[in-house]
Amino acid sequence: MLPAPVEQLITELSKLPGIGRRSAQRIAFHLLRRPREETQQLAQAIVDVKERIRFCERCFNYSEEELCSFCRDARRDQSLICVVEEPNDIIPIEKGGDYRGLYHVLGGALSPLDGVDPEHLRIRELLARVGEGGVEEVIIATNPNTSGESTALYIADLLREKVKVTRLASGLPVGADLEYADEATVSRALSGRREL
Amino acid sequence: MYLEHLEIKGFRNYRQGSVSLGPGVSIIVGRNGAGKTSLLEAAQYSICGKSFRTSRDAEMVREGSGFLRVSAAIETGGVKRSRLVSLQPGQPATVDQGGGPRWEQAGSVLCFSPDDLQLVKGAPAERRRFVDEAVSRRRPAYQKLAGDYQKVLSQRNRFLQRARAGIVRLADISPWDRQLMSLAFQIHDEREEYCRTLSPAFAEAYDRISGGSGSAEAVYRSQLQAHAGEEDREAAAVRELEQQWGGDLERGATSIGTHRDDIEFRVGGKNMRVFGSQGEQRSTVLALLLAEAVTESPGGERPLLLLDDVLSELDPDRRGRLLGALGNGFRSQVIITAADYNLIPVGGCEAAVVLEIGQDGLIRAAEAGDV
Repeated sequence: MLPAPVEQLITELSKLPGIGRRSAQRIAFHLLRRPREETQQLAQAIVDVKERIRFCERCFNYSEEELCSFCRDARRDQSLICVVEEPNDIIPIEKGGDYRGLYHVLGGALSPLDGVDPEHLRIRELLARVGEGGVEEVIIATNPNTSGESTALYIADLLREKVKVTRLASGLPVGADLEYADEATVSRALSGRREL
Repeated sequence: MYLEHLEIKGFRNYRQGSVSLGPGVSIIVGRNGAGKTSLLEAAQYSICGKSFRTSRDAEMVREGSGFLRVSAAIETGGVKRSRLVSLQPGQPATVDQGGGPRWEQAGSVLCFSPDDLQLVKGAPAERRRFVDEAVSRRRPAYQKLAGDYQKVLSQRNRFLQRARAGIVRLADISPWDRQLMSLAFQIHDEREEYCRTLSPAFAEAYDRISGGSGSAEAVYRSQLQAHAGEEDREAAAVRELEQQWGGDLERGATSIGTHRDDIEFRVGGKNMRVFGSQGEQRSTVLALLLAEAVTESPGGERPLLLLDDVLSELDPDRRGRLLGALGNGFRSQVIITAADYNLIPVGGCEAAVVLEIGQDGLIRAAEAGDV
């Protein structure tokens, strides 16, 4: 029904997360209506991101150079490492603005059901970084679910003798109404309450 | 929960039907196939959106009708509301909830049908589910806890299979062990607490039905109890689990945890699952239901009890005592079905209202000569 190139574009777009066949069609027709330069820019951006972005050699965040902007920044606290599952987990921590240390991106969380074992995560590399010295504290910021928790326990076991290991607290979201918090969150916040 | 009035259209074998109910015990009499069970089903469906007979809603729509409609006048916590539920096969039910919740909590209606005997006779999983559902109604956060436990258990079992295949090192199972035991003890404490409160109510209900005295109990059985009173019971259980690594590896399954729990219903020291007669097992399930109904829920609101065909399997003494137990200061509304007037014990319950299903689907008070 549609010319082959259009059909091909729709097929490719519908592989993207959250994009179904219908949305893919809308985007495809939208692109057809846009000026040539604009679509060229989009195509180039996609090519660039794959060609120019690699993993930072130290923390495995996305980077354009050997080391990412955090690892190159000498003003950041070199004695602190915050361990996250994926590069996008860094964004909310940076937005918070309070953290001035370095990162380490594991590339996932332990999950035998999904075939993710310790050697698939960058745990050996984290141990090496700590082994080089100068690190005083490792903050484990894996997600507060069963996979993230197991990953945290696994890493904590390996590091406990060498360095101080901490875990992000979990509980009520700041600025939200208690009324809208789910039962499990309230339950956890209650058990982790503190004295004023 | 008090169901005052129910009107049904196109439901199972009903073209149309309606019934008004008192706040106490109502006994619905009708020959086989008259629509007694369907009436209970309609009551449950209109309130909770679930049926104890089927998980496929479309089955409830009368053949050739194309849709069903159930309207219910209910009172909860002193507030009267009317609800209207309609269903067309292939579409989600539409609910006019009259200012109330879309569906009432599952526990606001408790059903017993002859199939529920599995609760006593069946596998431990049946009894764990009964307890888990009861705990979830009291503590909604428990559901997430139980879900997390299942997840960690599946992860650990898969890990064992991967270790057996030589893909991972068995020693790396430790994070899963510790997380499993941490969740297991939280589940253990909730289940234990529930059985502790249930047991005396169960004993009392069983006595009232059987005419016995104080020998019934609901006993929680868990492997984790071996570590009760230890200083760090979680660590002790993790060590015990470590000792099972070899066997677990071979089976590819986890040998210790709350997934192995059971609840024993004992009467006079006899485990009802193994040694109970049909009648005793039936009394046990009924006593559990009664106990669950009186064990105070957070809101203090008593559930509606729907008892399908429970009288036929009990001896006349027990029938009389059951109705006595339900009628006398029980506070929950109860609807019972029976195929035959002879099943209603004489003088067994002055408080019960007997209704009969007529050919036209109208349900009216039985005449004095019938009973």
